[in-house]
Amino acid sequence: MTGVAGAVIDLAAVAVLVVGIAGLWRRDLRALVGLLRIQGVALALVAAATAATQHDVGLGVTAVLVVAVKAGVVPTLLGRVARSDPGARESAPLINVPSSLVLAAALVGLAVIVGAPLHALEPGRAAALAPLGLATVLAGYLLLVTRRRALSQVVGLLVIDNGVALMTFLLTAGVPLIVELGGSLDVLLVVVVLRALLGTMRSRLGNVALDELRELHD
Amino acid sequence: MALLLAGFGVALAAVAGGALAPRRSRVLWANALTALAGVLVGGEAITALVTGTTPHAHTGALLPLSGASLRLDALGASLEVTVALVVTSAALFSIGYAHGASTSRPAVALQAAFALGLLLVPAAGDAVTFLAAWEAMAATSLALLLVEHDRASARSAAVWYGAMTQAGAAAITLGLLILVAAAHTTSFVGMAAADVRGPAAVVAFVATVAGFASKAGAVPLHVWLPRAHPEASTPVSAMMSGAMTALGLYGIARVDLGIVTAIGRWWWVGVLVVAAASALYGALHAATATDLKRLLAYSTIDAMGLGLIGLAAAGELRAGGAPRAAATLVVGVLILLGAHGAYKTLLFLAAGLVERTTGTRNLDLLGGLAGTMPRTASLVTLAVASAVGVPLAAGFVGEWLEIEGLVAGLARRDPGGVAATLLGLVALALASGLTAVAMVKLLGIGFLGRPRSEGARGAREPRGIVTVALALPALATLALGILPGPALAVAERAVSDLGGTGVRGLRGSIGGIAVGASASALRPLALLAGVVGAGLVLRAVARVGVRSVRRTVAWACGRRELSARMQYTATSFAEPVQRVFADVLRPDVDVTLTHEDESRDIERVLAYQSSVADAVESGLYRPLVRGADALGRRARALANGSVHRYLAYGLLALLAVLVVLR
Repeated sequence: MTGVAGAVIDLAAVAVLVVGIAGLWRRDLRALVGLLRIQGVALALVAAATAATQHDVGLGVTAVLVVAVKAGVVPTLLGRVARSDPGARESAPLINVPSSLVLAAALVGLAVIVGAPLHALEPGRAAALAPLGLATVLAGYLLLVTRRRALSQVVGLLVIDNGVALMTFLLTAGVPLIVELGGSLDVLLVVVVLRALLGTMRSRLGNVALDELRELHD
Repeated sequence: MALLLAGFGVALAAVAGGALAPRRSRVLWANALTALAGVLVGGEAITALVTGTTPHAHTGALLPLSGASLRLDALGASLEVTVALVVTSAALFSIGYAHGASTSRPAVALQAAFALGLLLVPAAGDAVTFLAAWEAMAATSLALLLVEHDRASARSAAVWYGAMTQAGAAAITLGLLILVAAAHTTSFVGMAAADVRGPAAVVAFVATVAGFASKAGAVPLHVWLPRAHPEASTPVSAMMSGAMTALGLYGIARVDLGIVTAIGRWWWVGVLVVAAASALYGALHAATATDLKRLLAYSTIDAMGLGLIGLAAAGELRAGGAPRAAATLVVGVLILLGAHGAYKTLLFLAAGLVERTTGTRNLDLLGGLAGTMPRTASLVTLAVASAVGVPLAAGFVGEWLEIEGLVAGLARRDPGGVAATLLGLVALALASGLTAVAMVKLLGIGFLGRPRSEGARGAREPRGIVTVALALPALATLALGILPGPALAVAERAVSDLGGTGVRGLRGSIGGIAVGASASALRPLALLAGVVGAGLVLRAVARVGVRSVRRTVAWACGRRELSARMQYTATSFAEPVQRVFADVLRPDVDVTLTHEDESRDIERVLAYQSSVADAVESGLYRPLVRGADALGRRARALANGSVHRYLAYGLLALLAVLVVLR
């Protein structure tokens, strides 16, 4: 592993996690979508740097794919939803921002402790970073659980997906291209469906805060 | 092997025919092809039995990881003959019988798929293929119950059946997985050679016996059976009763006698107690039931209970050092299953014809059908004879062998074992007696005497292929009853498939069969010759001795005219039995007295109503269902409709898993 590529992997992997945690901090929905875009770029950097060190063409293609889907199409689609309701904010999350950040710190700690054995799977510098992916998954999950806005929850879901992707890149130097392709298409499909759903919900119910939908149960 | 594969191919084509053919020819295509598949598969099974070969095939495709594997050894082949007979008869019957909802595209295709599943189960050579075939059989039969889903009783029967069959399949899967894990192979042959022992064997034994026994309708896992059989269409209930329940016992023979050989004998004694209870329970309910199909359903529980007594006693005897008696029992059970498949199919199909032409299944409203439907009545008489165990019919051979095996098991110096065997023998005797009551009621009340309703009076003999479908099992019943020797000789080889020693001492020939050194023998041909000879002699004597012939109504106590109300009804015929066993049956009897207006002393109408509900269902399952329901209601507090709460559950579960697996 060359020094530059190694440093890029280190930085980009940390960036994925930091951006994921920043998602807990920002309340502006458009800013959230922007964060998602940055996370996609960071993830693609990890993939590209890994591809460069291992001379893996498939992984390089995957990196391009990640940029296209996770930093391109998906944030653009979500951005349109966010723009249609300018000034929309996550006004009252279930857990307030400072507490969320403290919880996120605890989750990162847990991920590091729990993820330590992952290093044993594949000794190497990249695998040692794998707990970052786990931490990103947990941060995304926290976003999913504590936010009321439907859009923030979609972002949470995507952060989880990015965390899983980060782990696969770091641990196995990427899954086969076809699997990654399938995964990306899945995410894209989910986003398209959710976007359509959000549009319909807004046109029928106005403001979309999931807690107000409780009467639909049973 | 070619015939077998061709048979399965044709059965698949039958499913496709049912799904794709146009409405008019759908029933014909699907059922004709199913019947052909039955003939092909049955032909392969008979060939394998006669030549002593074991056709087998394996493909890496079709099923993941282990692939699909077919193997038709003597045990599987003997069952396969029974299944093929039942499937062929039911399919031929459907051609002339299907109407209304059962001619719909899904119904016809599902019936063909059910037949395919039934044919596949005995031919499966490894656990994975077996489970796949089993599930195909269970799932299609469940869907077939819902063909007439606009009836509430059909829906309720499907819920019961669905719950029981899925729980049973889960138990079987668990048991087989344990065995596969312990034996490191999925093939039945390899699993049998692995000799699994210890706690794994016990858990696998209990799980598979429970799962298979629920399919065979063993008490208290039988509750689905009396609901499902009357609700399914006639050919389907014939297949369910004649073939599917028999496959439950096949599973016990294959897995628990054949693979879990190291199990302690007292486990088998436990199974024996359950078997005795279900034989008696089924026979009692059959004796008191008035609905024709319900009677037949309970009689299935009874017959399967008798079979299970045989298998359980065989397991106990083998573990207790009496392998010969055990082998005799296994052969007896195999013959009993064949006989049951034949006569029960015939009876169910005949019940469908009776219901079609009279519009009722209630025995209290039938009667006199022997006059209007003579062909059907004579075939039913033969089936009833087989069910009761009259010599020259197939059922007798099976029961005789089973009794021989049990009696041989008494000759041991082991009080516990002897007591267990004795229990089986006593249950067998009592259940046989009660079966006789039920079957005599079916024949006597339903077909003899005078019609009790307009519907019964207007009954018509059906024509065409349905009669052929009824004649097929009748022929098999007679053939097996008169010439049991060859069948015995081939069924005997099945014992060695179960890891038992050869029977040696059980001899079958054209002339008859013989058991043991005591040379206890059954010679149906000689009996037949004797009966025919005696009949001829009597006839000759009657011609010589009697000058004038006067025809009169028999059993009329001297009266010329008898009305329908003077005869026994099904309810009154069973009343003594119901009274004696009231503690077990808990009948709900209702007597209403209406008086004349002028005087309270003159009774006008005395109405007697009695209904027997299933005591196990009301006593065991109702509280169970209520408890589960209450638990479910309380659990609703966990799910209050908040998305965030559900997501939080997910996160907490993930964290818990992470911490635990660290």
